[in-house]
Amino acid sequence: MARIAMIDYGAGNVRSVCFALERLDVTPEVTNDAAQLRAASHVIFPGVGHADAAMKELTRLGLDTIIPTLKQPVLGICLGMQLLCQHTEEGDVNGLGVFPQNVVRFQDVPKVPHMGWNTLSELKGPLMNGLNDGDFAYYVHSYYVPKSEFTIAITDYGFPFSGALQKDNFFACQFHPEKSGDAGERILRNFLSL
Amino acid sequence: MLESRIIPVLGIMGNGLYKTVRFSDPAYVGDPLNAVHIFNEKGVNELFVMAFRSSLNHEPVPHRLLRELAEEAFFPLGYGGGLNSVADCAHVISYGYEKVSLNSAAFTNPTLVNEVAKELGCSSVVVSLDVRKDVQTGAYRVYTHSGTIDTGLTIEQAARQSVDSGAGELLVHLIDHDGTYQGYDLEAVETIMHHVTVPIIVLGGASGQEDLVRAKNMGIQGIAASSMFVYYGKLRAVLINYPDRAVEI
Repeated sequence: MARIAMIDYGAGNVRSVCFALERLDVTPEVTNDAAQLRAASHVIFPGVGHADAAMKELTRLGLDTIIPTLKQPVLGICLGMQLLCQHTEEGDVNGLGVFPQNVVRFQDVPKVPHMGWNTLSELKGPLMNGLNDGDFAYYVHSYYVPKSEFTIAITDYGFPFSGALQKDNFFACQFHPEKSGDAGERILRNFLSL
Repeated sequence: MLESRIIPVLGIMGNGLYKTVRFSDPAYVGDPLNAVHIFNEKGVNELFVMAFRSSLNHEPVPHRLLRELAEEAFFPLGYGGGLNSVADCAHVISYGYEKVSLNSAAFTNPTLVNEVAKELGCSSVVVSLDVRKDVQTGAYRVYTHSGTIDTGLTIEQAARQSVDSGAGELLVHLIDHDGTYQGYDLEAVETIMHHVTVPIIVLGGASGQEDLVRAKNMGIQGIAASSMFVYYGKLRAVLINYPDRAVEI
């Protein structure tokens, strides 16, 4: 039986992710309790907000040391993905270091934030199972993770960047699967079946 | 490639869905929950909920209704109306909204935009520039409190001030075009388009596909409308509608 835990650290999109999961008949436990997180079959690490404020809250709750040690499938979303990286330019903050990437601000693009529906391509791995090149996902962000060996989906915003990442049991999406219609639902379903 | 977003705007008063003309004469259109439900089925890109006259009438943010709407909405959501503290904005975001839109409070308390951006991230903060063209000078001036108070700022000044404070998006709301079906006044958007680097949403006056296409061709990222998505035909029969995603606008 899947036991889905959602990390509760005051992130903005907790409820939208909950609603999206409820559509899949899954009720997540929203918690910041280390034991409960460790006991879950899947952990979702949501995030909307400012990296500095979010990282301070994770540290205050002692979750900064727990999250990188989780062994079950973990899905970081948006700011959650950025905080799983080594460092972010937003507030010049060190992240949790699961992905050895630096998160950088968009430069020389038409508009910042990159906001709206954009396509996914170069899809890899189980999280992207059943998706097609050209499927749309919903993005809102001003900072991005460059393309690397951990990239499992590309989005192009004048240049290709990481739409999603995977390293071992850690998965992450820069876009919002909980707001990305059918493609997003498929990704959440894929995650839950890991 | 990033698509332009077609954004229906739902006006609310109390628990009802209303539509105004030039920010006045609110007409009851129906139940906002029902509208959100229909927009779900239509695969809407994004939706804004706006409470009319909240700042003008000192009305509180309709927290309960906003929560109920978010529960129904499987697409990105924004909310504007009567927000005047970081706590208000944080609550709305916590219900599952991606963005909060500030108008009155952004100009009466300019540090608020900055505080909200710091707390919630720039991407979540929209400043609504409610503009009216000054017929004497031809300049666009920004108003607050449902178009009743002149900020004394031109659209350029207000746009610059908002972006410098941390707004991640600007909504150009054309007061005199609201509900009139006379098309967007794209000149107002053009005035600021090349001076700010954040995405812009235009709202007010759209009557049909041609208007959406004109805005898109100008490179506007957010193309919003209210009447055309809640009414059908000249007699304004209430009918929630939305262009098919497959149709190229």
